[in-house]
Amino acid sequence: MSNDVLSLVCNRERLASLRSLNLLDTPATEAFDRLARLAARILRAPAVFTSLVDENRQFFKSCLGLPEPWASWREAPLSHSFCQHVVATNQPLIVNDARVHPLLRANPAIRDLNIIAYLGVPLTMPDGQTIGSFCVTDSVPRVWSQMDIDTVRDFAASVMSEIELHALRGRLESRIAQQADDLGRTHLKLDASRAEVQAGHKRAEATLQENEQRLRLALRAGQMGIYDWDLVNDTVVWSEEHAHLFGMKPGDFDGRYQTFAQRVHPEDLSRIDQAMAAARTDRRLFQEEFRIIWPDSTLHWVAGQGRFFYDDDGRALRMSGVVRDIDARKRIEILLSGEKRVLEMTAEGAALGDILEAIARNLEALSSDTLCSILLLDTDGVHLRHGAAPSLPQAYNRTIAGVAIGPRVGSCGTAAYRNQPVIVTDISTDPLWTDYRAPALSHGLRACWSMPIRSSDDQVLGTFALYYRETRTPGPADFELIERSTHLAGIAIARKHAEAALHDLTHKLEHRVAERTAELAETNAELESFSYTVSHDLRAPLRAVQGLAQALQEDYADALDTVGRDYTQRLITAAERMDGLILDLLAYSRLTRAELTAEAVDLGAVVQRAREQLAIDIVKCKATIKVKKSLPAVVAHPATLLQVVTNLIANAIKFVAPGVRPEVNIRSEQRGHGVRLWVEDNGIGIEPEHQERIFRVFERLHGIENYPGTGIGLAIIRKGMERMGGTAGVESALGQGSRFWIELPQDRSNTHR
Amino acid sequence: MLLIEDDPNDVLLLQRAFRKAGANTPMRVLNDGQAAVDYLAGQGAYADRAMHPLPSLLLLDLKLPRKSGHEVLEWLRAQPALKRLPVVLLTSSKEPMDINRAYELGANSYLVKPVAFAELLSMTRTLELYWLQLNEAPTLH
Repeated sequence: MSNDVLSLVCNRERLASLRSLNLLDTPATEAFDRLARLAARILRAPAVFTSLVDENRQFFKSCLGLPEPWASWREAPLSHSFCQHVVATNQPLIVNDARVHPLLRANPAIRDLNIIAYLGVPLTMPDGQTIGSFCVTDSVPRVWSQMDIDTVRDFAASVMSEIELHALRGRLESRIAQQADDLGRTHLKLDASRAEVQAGHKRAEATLQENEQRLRLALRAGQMGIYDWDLVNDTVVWSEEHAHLFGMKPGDFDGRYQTFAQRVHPEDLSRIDQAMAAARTDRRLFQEEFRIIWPDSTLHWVAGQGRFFYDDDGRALRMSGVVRDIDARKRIEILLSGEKRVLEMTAEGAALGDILEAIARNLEALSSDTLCSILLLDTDGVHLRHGAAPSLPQAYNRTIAGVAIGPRVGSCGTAAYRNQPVIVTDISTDPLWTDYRAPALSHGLRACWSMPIRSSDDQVLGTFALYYRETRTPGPADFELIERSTHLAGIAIARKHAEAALHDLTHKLEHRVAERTAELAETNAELESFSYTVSHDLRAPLRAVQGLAQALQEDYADALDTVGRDYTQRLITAAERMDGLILDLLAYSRLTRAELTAEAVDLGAVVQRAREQLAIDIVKCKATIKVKKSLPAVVAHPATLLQVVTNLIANAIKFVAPGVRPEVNIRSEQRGHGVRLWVEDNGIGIEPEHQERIFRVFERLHGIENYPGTGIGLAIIRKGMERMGGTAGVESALGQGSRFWIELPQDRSNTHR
Repeated sequence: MLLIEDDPNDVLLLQRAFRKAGANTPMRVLNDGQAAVDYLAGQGAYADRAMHPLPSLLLLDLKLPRKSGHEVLEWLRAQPALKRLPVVLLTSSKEPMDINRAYELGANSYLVKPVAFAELLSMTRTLELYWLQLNEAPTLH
């Protein structure tokens, strides 16, 4: 491949044609350098070369931006040449990144000459021989556009014109030297040569003009205007497109900087001035986006870019650059950032008025002459209330607020009534405005387009209107903008409605909770007074029955026979049982009502106290109770826990088969964050189907004669544990003893002794 | 000894128990709270102190007609001349609320009437021994 390239490069006719130009090893010439600078500026490329390729090397007729020592040598060996490929193929070579280019990735010029991106166009003689390449390069990867390629091609054509011119001059000069002695002939030939020179000039000029035309068309296609500001004479030249971007006809611009400044949006002007001053002093690129107010007072976004140029003393002589139309992109940016802000405000729960005002201002920022008005439909579905209208006159807002919707109530009242957009392009003639024309016109409002704001289920929430100070018909872009803003307002309003409903509901709920709490407190108080009565009044007659029966038994024993004594004994027993029942019931009911505060309790101490309380019963039934050492501390209400443990032990020693000595084992077990206390007995056991029932009040499995009791003991255990945030249960089988357990959170504070 | 008790059965049983316990201190019985106040204040029907002497111990039920035991106790402790009088509450309520309130108002003791007569008997015996024999009585004006 490279041999092919080399043989093509070494073509004898080509080399002869190149040598005949007498350009190799000639000093730098301003004409070529100027073209290089122009190309560098227009293409914003750091390096530009006019490269002439012979059999050994490429000679740079111009080399802008080449690093030393190459810049001084003004040549590079073919090993470093990209241009030889342009010569060999006679085609442009377009390289976005040489490091990954199959032909060039090993080329040392990448490293030595900082060439990463390369765009070279053949320099071809009129005889068809390609003598070299005009190329622009970049030290970073770059994607070359078709416009770039066309521009370089144009420059190559200009360079060829210069080369031809040079060749002509060279030929002319040699002829002058050769024929210095023959003045007459020389004179004639000189005239001819002059004519030839002039023709060459003309051709070159025509080419340049053609190039300029191409450039102009390209800039127009890119919606790009060129400006050139002569700082010495303070005159500005704008291209045609530049004038278009400022809403002016070519030729309308008077060339004064002041006229430009007047067109810039006042809010952007000082920023532009500062950036320009900085670019001038720091010799850097001026690059700003700003708003232009056209003569028809519409707003347009442009991006400006340019650079100052200085004389040898460092004085800025001129500034030139381009302006670009970025209106569409900028509008989308503003719209999206505005929408984002509104959604954030909505999410953060900002006041509805503030959110709606932000929506209105966002839309107004996109068109300088629009006045937004957002009205909210009252919950009565009839009246429109003020929502937001930051730019409309306050007096007008007051006039509109509270208006009832209807079939001929301006734009908004009608739009809300119809649940359809109402576009009024001229308030002064539209019949919908008959009743509201005077206030609108008196505030200078001439057109009004109104859209209903709808909820997700199509209910009208309000209206979103755009007012204008002159008659106006909306375009598709306007509709899109209004629809987006209206949708946004709908989201914000619906959200506020939902919030209000939620608030309302919460309020109602709180009210109901308060009511229920009061009812409960009342019930609780009634229950308390009931228990009080029970404990006092129900027990008094019992005492009398019991006491008097006993008095009978003691004082009148002689008067009673065996049956009489049995009856009085039964009276005493029955009364005692009933009193036990009442006391247990009271304990149970107290447990359900009392507020229990939990604290650290030593389980071992509680078991010990329970045993002491039951000492008499334990001795009576000859029970053995084994307690495992070192029971842990738990979190519980001390008195309730004591009652529970006492009931557990009492239960364990009670339900044994006749003649069996109760044996009770008490131990604890770690269960996650809790402690389970086991009370295991050798009693009669409980069938599985009864194991839940026994924890209910008054549930008994055995007759009073066999196992006396009230049937409340286990219910007290279950209730007491529930009230302390614990649990209770049993594992048992008939005839195999029972293993009752309670579970409580373990105390981790270590603060108890 | 002054017993304030509205239930005639309780009065009967208590009197029997005291009798069985062998107490020989005379016992006056009143049936409602207001009568208790009148008696202790020496007013109305009880103006004659000689006929209605101040007791050395007041046995007070809580649930009483006209004035509750708590009210009587509160009134009593506010009387400069009577406030030292030992008061034993003798009631059927085991409610912590009643017990705590009684002590707050200055009760000297709180006893719950047992149902079984044997227990009542042992209680009256202890009560008589402690309050009327062992205990040093304060001076009353």
